Amino acid sequence: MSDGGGAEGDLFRLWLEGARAFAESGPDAGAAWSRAEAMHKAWARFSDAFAAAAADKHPGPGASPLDPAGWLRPEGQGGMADLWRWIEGPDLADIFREERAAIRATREWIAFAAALEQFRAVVAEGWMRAFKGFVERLSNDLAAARAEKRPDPDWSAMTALWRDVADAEMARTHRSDAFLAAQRDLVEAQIALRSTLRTRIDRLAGFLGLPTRAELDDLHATVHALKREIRELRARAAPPGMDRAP
Amino acid sequence: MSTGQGGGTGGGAGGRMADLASRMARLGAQLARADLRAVEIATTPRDEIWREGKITLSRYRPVTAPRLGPLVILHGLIGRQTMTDLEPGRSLVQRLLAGGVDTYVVDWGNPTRADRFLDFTDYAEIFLGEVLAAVSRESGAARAALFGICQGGVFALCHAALHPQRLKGLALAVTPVDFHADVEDPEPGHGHLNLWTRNLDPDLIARMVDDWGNLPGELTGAVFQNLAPARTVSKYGADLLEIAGDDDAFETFLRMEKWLADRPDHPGAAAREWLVGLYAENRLVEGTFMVAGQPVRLGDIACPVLNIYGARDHIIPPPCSRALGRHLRHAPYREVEVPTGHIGVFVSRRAQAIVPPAVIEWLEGLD
Repeated sequence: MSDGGGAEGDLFRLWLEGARAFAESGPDAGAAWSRAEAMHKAWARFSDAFAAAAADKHPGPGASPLDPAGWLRPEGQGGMADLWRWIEGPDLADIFREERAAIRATREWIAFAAALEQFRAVVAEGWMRAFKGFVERLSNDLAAARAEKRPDPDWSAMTALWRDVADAEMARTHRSDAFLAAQRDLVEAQIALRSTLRTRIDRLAGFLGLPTRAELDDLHATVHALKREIRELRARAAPPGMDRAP
Repeated sequence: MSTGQGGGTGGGAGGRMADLASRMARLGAQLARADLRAVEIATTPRDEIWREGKITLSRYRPVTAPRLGPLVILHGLIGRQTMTDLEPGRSLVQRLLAGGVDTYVVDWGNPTRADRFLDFTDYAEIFLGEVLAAVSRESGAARAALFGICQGGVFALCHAALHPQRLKGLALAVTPVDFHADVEDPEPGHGHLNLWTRNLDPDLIARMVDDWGNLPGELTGAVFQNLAPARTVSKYGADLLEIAGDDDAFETFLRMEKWLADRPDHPGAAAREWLVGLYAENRLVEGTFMVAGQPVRLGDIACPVLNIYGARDHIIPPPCSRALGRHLRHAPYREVEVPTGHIGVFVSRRAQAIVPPAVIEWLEGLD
């Protein structure tokens, strides 16, 4: 397809072709179909060329922006990383503001889901270790009981053993570096997501004329400050011992 | 590990299975006939004598002529004061009344979003000051003693440090003082709250609290459940089967559940000071924790102090409470160890024989 201008040149020409077809179609209603058809063909070729160019530029699974495997990667080269980097920049005044906010929220939801999965994985590993430890201890206890001709542990003793082994193992897990890192990441991701969602909800609430959380907080802060002032004034005006402890 | 003989239904696997089946049947019958709506806690008669918004101060009706006190029970904002009066036989309040203590209790109510900006200055200085004034008016006593529990103990410590002459005495129970002393506790299951909070950057904690507004009771409840997750689950299985057929124990279980389920939201500004200023930055023992614009200096406390802690307290590790003794300079100081966990200090049978007598004896020394 390229005639020497490279993939970018091809893309530009295809875009121009579509734009020209749109511009040259007449104002009469009969030209609407041919205009739409021309646009469709031009954009189909454009997207094909874009995919081909992306595949050349981003070898490897998940690297291309058109490969869904790469969509969940905030880091790395190519793929959605370009988009993530783009939304980190300053807002543009008149274009794509809502789109950027939506993409930002999506990214934070993905990060939160990933952090939650990591946290669950660390905890699940702890439970697996606990179960393994319980089975080993119980096997030993049963073997000892048989060897010493004692009765087997009853249900109460077994559940007590499970409780003790599991809580001891989970205590170790809860102190582990992996758990602490996963917990920290989860809290950070959750706060980022909630903050972004609230900002968007506040925008919507403002649009609909509903009070936002920020406005309610302002109100509560004002009432809180006023109450303190009133209490202070009342205490100054009251006889000694009436409003304060002796 | 204990071994069983089938609970009296014969040894061997068959007998043990029969025992288990019997217990399950008894438990099922108990659950079927239990009137869960009738479960009540904190039923000791009392009269409200002061109110400020959602906050109330009540005076328990004496059962004998008051000879000691007044003593004001001050719980924190996490959990409720009703734990001190769980049921007859497990009631600190009733034992104090029986010992002739003129007893009062503060109820912080259920904070809502409108209370988000209430902070330590409000609770430890303003409200507590007004509570003490109300007690003074009601009782005629110039000074009262405070009995601060957990976070309520920190409120009481702050007030006692800022007003060294105001209190007759200061009793504390399961109260954290040095929030980093958990590292001195060799028990691996203790001090996770301290560790987890230190794991987070203070700025992140502040953003978290600001983000939530108030700290939801469900959130604090979930954190507590995860401190000993297997135990949290087993209480609805093995523990219930253990007490199957014992109506008194079953009612106690339901009352404890009622208390645990009643978790108010924690006002955001106070939560921020609690988690950042105290848990993360340990400012109380540094002398840099600010209340009402003043640094709280524990060494300024002048009244006698009684410090009660649970030897198996995994929420407030004993070293965190006992550290108080190192920071007092002028105050007579006494410690009482209770061989229980955090809540057991108030509701366990063993604690009933230790805590109320210790408080009464200490109060006798004040008068």
